[in-house]
Amino acid sequence: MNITASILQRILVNHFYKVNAGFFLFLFFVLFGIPVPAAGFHFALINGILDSYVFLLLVFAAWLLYNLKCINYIIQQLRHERQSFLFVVNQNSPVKVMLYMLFVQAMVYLPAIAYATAIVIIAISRHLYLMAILVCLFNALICIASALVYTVALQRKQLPALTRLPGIRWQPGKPLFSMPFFFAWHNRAQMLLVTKTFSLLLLYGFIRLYNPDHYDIRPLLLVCMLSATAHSALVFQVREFEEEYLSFVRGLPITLLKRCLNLVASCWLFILPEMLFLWTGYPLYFTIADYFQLVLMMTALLCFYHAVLLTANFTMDSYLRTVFGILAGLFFIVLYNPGIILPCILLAISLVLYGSYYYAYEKKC
Amino acid sequence: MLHFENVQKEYGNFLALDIPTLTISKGICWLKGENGSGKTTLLKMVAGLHPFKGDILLNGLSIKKQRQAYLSQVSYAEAEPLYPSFITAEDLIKLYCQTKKSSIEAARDMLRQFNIHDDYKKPLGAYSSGMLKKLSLVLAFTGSPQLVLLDEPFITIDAEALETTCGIIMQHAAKGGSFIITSHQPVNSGQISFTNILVAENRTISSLSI
Repeated sequence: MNITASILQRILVNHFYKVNAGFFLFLFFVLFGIPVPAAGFHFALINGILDSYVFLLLVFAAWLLYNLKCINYIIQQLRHERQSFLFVVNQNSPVKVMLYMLFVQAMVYLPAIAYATAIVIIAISRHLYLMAILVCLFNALICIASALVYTVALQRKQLPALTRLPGIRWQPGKPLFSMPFFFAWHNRAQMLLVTKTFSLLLLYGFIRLYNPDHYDIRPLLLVCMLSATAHSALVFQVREFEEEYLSFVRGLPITLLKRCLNLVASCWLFILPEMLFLWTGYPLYFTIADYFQLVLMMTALLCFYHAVLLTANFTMDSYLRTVFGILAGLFFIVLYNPGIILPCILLAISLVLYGSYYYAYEKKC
Repeated sequence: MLHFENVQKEYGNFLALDIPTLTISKGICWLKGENGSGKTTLLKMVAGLHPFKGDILLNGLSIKKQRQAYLSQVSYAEAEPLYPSFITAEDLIKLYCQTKKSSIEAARDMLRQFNIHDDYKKPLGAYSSGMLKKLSLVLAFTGSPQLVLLDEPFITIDAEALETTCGIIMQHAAKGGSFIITSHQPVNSGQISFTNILVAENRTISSLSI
């Protein structure tokens, strides 16, 4: 690999996977960890895709969404002042610049290419050549178009509006507790979208597909816990944001109690859509009293995931492993039906951890 | 006014600062030292942003035992302030005024003095580094703190803002406020009259008389 490709790989590609490690780990867990056996599930899924144009279009839409995430990230990096030295790549011939950008696109788009390759292989083995050509064509077009966009961005020219995600000009006042949410809204929009889509789909799927033969809050409680856990990568990003951009808040004369209340309010803001959506399952799945247990559990879990990050210097990888460990432990406790005591204890532990480590925490470089 | 008791700051196993005992009297104090000598670390410890061993007392209030009362008397402006790009100066001013129980109008007046009031409702992402620096200085003076910590207050800002900053420092000092200021730039004695000099070297802080 020549030096330019190597630098692009290290600055753009490796950093992309590092920043999105949580997203990929989560996706891997959902796609390959939950379905058993994973190979059989994906073989059936790919056959389903090849048998239905509607299904294929849905897959194209998913790839397109993922590619938008790639484009937004790469453009952001190419325009970042720290990466301004990359302008020197423009000294190469336009064809060579385009090839470099194609290389970058292929590397960040690799997960989609890998899945598309599996689809093409199965399509050819089933003699569904049109489907194979459509999949190849779609991905080739996406890669070439994205590489073109990166080339324009590298030249620091104005990009067409289509390549930018639509923004919403909404400027309400932002009290302290709302800042983590607005950070996600403005700076981690795709992550927020993916998290909310998955979390709400989980609740929707459960409420639509599961028919209880007797009243038991535990299955819905477990789904709510999964739904809250889906936010863990976002919580990690929020913690990093707080450390970098809200460090001044530590020096403000705010009582620990108020800081704890801010944390709870900030978690509520994140799970507000889930809290509202849950009502579609009333009264079949829960009573009013149990609704508070569900909301308290989601809040307590988010607070706990947040507080845990203050106890040590976690990487995204070590943090997600801790989160899955916590979830597994809580899963067994929930089986014994501890009722509202569990979320109450969890919230209390979270706030004690938060209070104990808030001023003592220091990020190690 | 400000007293250090067995203060030690470590980064991992590296002892960055060791101050067995030190008392800084009221006034405007110039904290000098080479790059990496621990000036910013000291300011951040006094501002309550860095954890450390030992204790720091401001007018008898301990940062460890009476943190909220202590912090209501201290303000800190960073050398290179970082704020979320999506919030506005209005959001920050309201947050500071609410927590420091002070007047929003007084803070807005200072924004006018620094010529950034027109951008009061704009997201900070649209601010230049100089504007952010001016905003951080305004926030540091919000709430009439007893002790203002200014880390390189004269960098990034224009000549007019430098005059304004010096004027506000002298006004605040006349009302009884104290300062610890770090600056690599030589400060004109006509603009600011320092009463103390602190030197950061050999992993400790010592006081020099003027």
